[in-house]
Amino acid sequence: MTTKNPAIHAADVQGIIISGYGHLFFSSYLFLTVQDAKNARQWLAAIVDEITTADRKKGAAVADKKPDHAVNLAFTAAGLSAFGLPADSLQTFSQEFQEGMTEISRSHRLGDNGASSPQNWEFGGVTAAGLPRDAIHVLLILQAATQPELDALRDRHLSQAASHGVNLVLPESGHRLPGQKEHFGFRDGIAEPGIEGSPKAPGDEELPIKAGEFILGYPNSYGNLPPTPVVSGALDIHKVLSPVTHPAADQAGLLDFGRNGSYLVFRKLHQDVAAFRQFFHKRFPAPDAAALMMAKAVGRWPSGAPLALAPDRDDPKVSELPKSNHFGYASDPHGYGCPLGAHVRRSNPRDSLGDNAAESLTNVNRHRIIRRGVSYGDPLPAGQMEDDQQPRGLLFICINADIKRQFEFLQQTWINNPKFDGLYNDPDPLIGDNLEPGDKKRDCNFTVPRQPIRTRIKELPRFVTVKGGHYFFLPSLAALRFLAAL
Amino acid sequence: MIQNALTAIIPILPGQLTALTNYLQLIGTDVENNPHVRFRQTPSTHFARWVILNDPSAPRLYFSACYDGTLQDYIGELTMNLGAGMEPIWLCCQGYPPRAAQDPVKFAEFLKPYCQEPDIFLIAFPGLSAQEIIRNQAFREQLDDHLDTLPRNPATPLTPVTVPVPPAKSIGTILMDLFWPLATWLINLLVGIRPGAPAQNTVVTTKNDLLAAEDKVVQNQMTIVSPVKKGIWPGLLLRFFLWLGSKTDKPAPDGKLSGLSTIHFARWVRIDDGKNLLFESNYDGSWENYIDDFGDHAATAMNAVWGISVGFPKGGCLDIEAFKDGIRRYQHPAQFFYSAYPTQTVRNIATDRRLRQNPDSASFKSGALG
Repeated sequence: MTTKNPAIHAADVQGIIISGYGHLFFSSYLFLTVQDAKNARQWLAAIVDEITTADRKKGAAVADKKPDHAVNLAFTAAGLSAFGLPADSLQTFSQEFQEGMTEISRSHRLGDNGASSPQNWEFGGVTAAGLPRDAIHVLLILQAATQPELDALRDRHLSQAASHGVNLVLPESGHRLPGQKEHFGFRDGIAEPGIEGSPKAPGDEELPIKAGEFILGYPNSYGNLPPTPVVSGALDIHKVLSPVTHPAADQAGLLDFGRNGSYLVFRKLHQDVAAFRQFFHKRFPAPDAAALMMAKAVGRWPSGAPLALAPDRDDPKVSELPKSNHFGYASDPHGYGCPLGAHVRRSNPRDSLGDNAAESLTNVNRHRIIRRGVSYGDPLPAGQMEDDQQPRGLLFICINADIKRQFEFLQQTWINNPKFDGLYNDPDPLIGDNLEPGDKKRDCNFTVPRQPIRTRIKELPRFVTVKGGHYFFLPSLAALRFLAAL
Repeated sequence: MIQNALTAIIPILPGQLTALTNYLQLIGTDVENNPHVRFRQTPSTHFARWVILNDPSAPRLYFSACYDGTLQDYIGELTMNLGAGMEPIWLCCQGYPPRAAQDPVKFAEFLKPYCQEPDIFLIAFPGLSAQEIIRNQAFREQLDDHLDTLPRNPATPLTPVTVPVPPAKSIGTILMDLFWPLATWLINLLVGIRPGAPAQNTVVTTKNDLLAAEDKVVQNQMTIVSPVKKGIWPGLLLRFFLWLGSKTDKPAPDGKLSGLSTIHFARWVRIDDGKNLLFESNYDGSWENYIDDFGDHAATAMNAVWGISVGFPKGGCLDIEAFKDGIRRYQHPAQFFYSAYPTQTVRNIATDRRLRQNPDSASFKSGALG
């Protein structure tokens, strides 16, 4: 257990880890494929200085300068291989990264079944019409304040990449919706863990979590250095990487490729907004009843006010940060305010797991993620109940140092687990793998505790469908330079 | 009526491994409805499994059950209901006289030399029979369906005003809180674990056959055979800790064992004259969650018992990646795994029992019902 907490080496960390760049409203996710390793490395060498780092002071008089655009770069396992990283190094990445999101038992654990199963994906899947998994090598993430700025940035990067045989195979575009909402109409992105020692000016985040939960090379919530991918020292001709800090003898002579990097999860999640509205209005036709039940399912009101603080009606007094993120569930173990099965309660159970609130927080903080997703598609007009067949949803991005202990755990043990916190048959009512047309009969309930008796909403349909996804590694600047010089 | 554990490890006859694997696969892929072995016909069974311990030099078959009542009665139940269907399994095993599985006396004679008493057998709900758990579940489901039909009074406030008062700590808990850091220090010292030793750089690697055998029903099976460090001292220490565990590890009224509310039954058995340690668990939910729970709630106990196994991380089980990798390395998938109540978690069982015993109880009113 390492007790010292070294300062984060901000200039070596990609910026997306420490900031979602809330002021940059438009994003482009460019999935690229590499033709020739040498050519691709030249491209990387040419753009590495354009990568936005976590260093907020660079070139600015003010302490916390927000960048006017952001460029970040992540690689799949196939991508690292395409750049020439040897197989023995690839084997030192986590198993989930090596195997990818679509390994069959992993799909089962993630709830990627039925319409969400990888054979139906637009990209990252294994078969069929979509863009195959192994064709995706690089994810270039561009963010800008306006659409024209983003377009210019994108065109410039695409032509630069193409001139090195690094070709676009899939573009995804995202943007922030007004009022920081997601397509179902609820304010999103409220509960974000802070990172201990982050160079970003302290905002409204929660108490910071150990940096090693989100950045390799720093102590994590167990007090350990997270497992890190390594490369042979002989490969590092420009001496840009540092030695592995894990002291075991078998690490001698190896260099730390992972330090200041992280893992990034990308998932395209379609949201069936019409189905969501129809379901609740049909089941709860009384005035205000549908709105209440939707809020119960989310665990927040559309304004962002948490049900834990505003159980019966929306309350603007608790809808803004920091108040909207300053609460627990321990005082409401039965879930009269925020139901046990509500989306936000199960995705971050805070102090509510077990009898000891402090212990619960410690344990829950071993399974947090940093969310960097944005919406895609235009909103369904307010009040419209009929589906317009338009694509819309969330480009879900999360950052974590350990995909299986953080993202996958959260998905399997909290979100899709119908037995979460003593429940019986209640997967996540909002994003869980609930019933699809043609499913064989199974119980998918949502229970709203209430006295004298609860309301049990049965046969919940699946509102969110996975359309594609991939696991990426987000290297440090040093590791990018190392790759470029291979 | 207390539950008991059947633990039998039987050598597989040379050349029979494939036949055995195939047959277990046949019945294991359809545990409930295969025409050969239907444990549902044995009302005393809570959980049962067959696991091939595939040591290449000498493969062995592990058969285990958690059951209600005496071994004699249980053997009777097995032979009467499953005897013919089990025959192809036992025929692959050493020392099996053909058709013995249909005769309680002969079957007991065959099994006996291979059976071992667990050093620790943990039971979440001592005395609660499998059939009672199933009856409680049916009662709760009926009650739930009935509640769905009742009218709701919209005038009732949604949130009750009562704030729960946390229970006061008992003297025992207070003493334990005081004593525990010292005990932890002492245990780690004895086992040679240095909490805080730097973590290893581990890629946790899980073989596909383990993953394929998991997450089929609400419970999961874990079978681990880990080699115990050689020498007199480790052997003595392990016996002492197991003895201590058997005296102190008792379930809470809500079924919690060692602070974990996910274990139905678990056992620790020193096998092969103490050379190996067998751990079996029937637990709820994901493997990741279960192992994380060990670290979160029972780190000292894990360090005590597994710390004496070869390859256990120097920093103890909070070197969580190395701990997980070690468990995966020594874990064997069950080819066949039966649960009498495949949709019931420990917490469900506890709630159902409380409801049936006292339908007016707070949990009922609170809407803890699903």
